[in-house]
Amino acid sequence: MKKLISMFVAIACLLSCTFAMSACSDNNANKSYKIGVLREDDSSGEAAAWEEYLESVGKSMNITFDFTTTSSSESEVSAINTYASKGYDGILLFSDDDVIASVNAAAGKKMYVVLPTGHPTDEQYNQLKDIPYYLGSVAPVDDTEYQAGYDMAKFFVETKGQKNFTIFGGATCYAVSMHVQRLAGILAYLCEDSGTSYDGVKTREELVGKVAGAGVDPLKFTSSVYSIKGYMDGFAFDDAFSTKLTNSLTAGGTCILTVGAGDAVTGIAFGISQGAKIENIMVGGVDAITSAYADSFDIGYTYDCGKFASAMGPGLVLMMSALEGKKIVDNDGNAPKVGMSYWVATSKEELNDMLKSDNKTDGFCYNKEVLDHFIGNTYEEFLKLCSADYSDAVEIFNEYNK
Amino acid sequence: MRHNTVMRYLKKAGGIAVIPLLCLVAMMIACAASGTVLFPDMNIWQIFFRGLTYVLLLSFGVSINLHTGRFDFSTGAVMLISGVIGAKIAYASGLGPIGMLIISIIFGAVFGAISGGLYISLRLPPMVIGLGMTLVLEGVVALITDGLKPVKFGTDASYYKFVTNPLAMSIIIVISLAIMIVVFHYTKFGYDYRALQNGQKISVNVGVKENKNALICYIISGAFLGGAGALSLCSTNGVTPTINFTTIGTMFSCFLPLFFSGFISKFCNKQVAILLGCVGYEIIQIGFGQISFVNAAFTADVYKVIEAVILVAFLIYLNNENKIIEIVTLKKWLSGKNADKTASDS
Repeated sequence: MKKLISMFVAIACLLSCTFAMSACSDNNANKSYKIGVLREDDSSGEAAAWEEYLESVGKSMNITFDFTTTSSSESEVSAINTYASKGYDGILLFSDDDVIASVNAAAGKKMYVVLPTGHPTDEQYNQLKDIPYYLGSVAPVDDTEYQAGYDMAKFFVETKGQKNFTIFGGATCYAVSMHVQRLAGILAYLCEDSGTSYDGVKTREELVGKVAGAGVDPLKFTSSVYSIKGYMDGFAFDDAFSTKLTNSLTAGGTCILTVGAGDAVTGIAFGISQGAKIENIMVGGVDAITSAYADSFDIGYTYDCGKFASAMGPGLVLMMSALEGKKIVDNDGNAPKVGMSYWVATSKEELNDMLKSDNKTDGFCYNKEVLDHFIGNTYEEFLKLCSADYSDAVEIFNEYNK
Repeated sequence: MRHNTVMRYLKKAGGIAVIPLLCLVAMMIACAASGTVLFPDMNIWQIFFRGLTYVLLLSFGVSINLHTGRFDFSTGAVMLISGVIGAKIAYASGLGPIGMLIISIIFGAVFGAISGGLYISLRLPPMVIGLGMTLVLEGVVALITDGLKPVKFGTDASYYKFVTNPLAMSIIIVISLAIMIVVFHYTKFGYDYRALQNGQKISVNVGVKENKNALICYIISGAFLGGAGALSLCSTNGVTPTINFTTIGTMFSCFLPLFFSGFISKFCNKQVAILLGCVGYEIIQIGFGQISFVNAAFTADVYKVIEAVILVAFLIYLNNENKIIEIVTLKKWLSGKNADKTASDS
C-alpha cells in the first residue's frame, strides 16, 4: 500500500512537473512585450519605414510598439512615465533632447532604453554606461557619415566624370555633426587632388573645423580641376533659395551633392533645369533608402545613400536580448556604442531591389528569423549585423531564412 | 489751385511707388556692393513673377480675415490640403497645372466654408477654430497621402514651367486683383465688409448680416489660399507633407507685404496697395538670394533676421508716423522758430 501511495505521489509529482515545465515553456513562447517609441520626426519617409518595420516585426515576435511624438525633454520624460504606468518593458529613444534625463527617467521605472538612431556624446556615454537599464546605441558614427560624403564625391568624379559642383549643406549651418561630417567627406575627396584645397586646408579635421556652423564659401575653394559653383544650406526652400540654385546651375554646377533633403532639392533643381533649359543635371544624396527616392531617380537623382527600414533591427536585438535576460555588452562589459553601415544605390533598379528586399509587403531583410539568431548572441555576432552593407544584409537574410 | 492739384497727385504717386522703389534701389545698391546684380537674366525674372503671384494670393487670402480681426491659423493647412488634392487629381487625370489650380481653388473655398461654418455656429474665437482646423486638415492630408508620402509630378515639368511663365503669372495677378477690387469695393458684400471692419456693433444694428459676411469672407479667403497652395506645390515640383502644426508658419511670410500695404493704402486702393507691397517684398527676396549667392556669410538665417528687423522697423514707423515725420522734417523746431520770429517781429 505504501509502495502504491509513493508511486502515486511520484507520478503526481512527475505530472505536475511536466505540466509546470510545459506551462513555463508556453509562457516563454507566448511571452509578450510592450515597447514605447519616442521620436521627434513622425512624418519623414524614414520615420514611416521604421514604424512599418517595428510594427511588422513586432506582430511576428509578439511585441507591441506604441509611438509617441515628443518635442522637448519634458515631454520625453512625461511620455516615459506614462509608458511606465501602463507596464511597458522598454523604450526605443529616437529623440535626443536630453538623453541623460530620459534614460534616468526610464531607469527609475526599471525600463530598458536603447538609442537606435543616434549616439550619446562621449561625455554623456560616460554618465550612461553604468546605468543597468541603458542598453546602448546603434547608428552611423561620424566616421560613417564622413565616409558617406567621401564616397559620394568619389562616385560622381570617378564614375560620372563630374568636375563642377553645387553643394547643399543641409543643417551644416547649425553645426549638426552628421551633415558637417558628410560635407567634410565631400571636400576631403576633392582636396585629395594636389592642386585643390578649401580655405588653405585639406585634411578631415581641418575641414570639419572650417565648415561646422559656417558652411562652404565657394570663393575659398581653390582648385585647378574642380569648381564649386554654388553652396546653400538651411531648409527654407524659398525664392532666395531658388535664386541661388538657379544661379549655380546656370553657372555650370549641374552636379548637385546634398547631405540631406536630396528629394526636395532634386524636385526644385529639375524644375529649374526644365525652365532654364539646362541639361544633364544630376543629384546625389546621403539621406535614406526609401520609396520616395525611387521617383527622384527619374528626374536627376543618381546616387542614394542612407538608412533603411531594417536599420531598426540591431536596436531591437539589444532590447530583446535584455528582456530575455541575455544582455549584450561590449568587450569592456559596458553598453555597446556601435556604428552602423549605410546602404548605397546608384540606380533606380538598385534602389528598387533594396526596397523589395526590405518592405512590409514582401518582408523585411532583418525579419524574425534573423533577429532570433542575434538576440542573446555574442557581441561579435552583433557587430556583424551592425556593420552589414546591402550585400552582407542579403547574405544574413539568406542564411537564417533557409 | 492747379499747383495744389499737381502737388496732391505727385504726393499720391510718390506714396504709391515709394516702397517698391525703395526696395528696388536698396537691393540694387546692396547687390552692386556685393559684386552682383539683382536681375542678371530671364531665369531670375521668372522666379520673381512666380514668387510675386504666390505671395499676392497668400496676402489676399490672409488679409480678408486678418483685417476684420480674425486671425486664422489654418491658412497653411488650407493651402497644403488644397494643393495636395489639386495635385493628386490633376496629375492622375492629366488635367495639367491650370486644372490643378482650379481644383485647388475649389477645395480651398470648401475648406474655407467649413472653417467659416464652424466659426459662426460654434462662436469660438477664430484662433481656436483655426488651430482645430489645422489639426483636422493636417490629419486629412496624412490620410490622403498614405502616411505623408511625397506628392510629386514625376517627369512632368509642365507644372513647374507654368509657375515660371511670367505671362501666366501676370494673368493670375490681374484676375486676382480685379476680383478683390470688384468684390470688396463694388458689391453690397464689400460695403458690408468694410462697414463691419470700421464699426461692428453699429453695422449689425443697421442690419448688416455679420454671420453671412464672415462665412463669405472665409470662402473667398479659402479660394485664394487654395490657389496659393497650388502655386507653392508647383514651385517646389511637389511636396512632402508635414503635420503637428508645421503649416502654421506659412502665413507669416505675407506679414511684411501686408504691413507695407498698410502704408501704401493711404494713397491708393487697398488691394492695389497689397500688390505693391508684395512687389517690394519679392524684390527683397530676390536681392537676398543674389547677395547670399556671392557672400557665404549672408546665410538664410541672416536674411531672415534682416527681414524681421525690416518688419519691426516698419511697424514702429506705422505706429509713430506723425512723431517720426515731425522729427525728420524738424517741423516742431521750425514752427517754434517761426513762432519766435513772429513774436519778435510783432
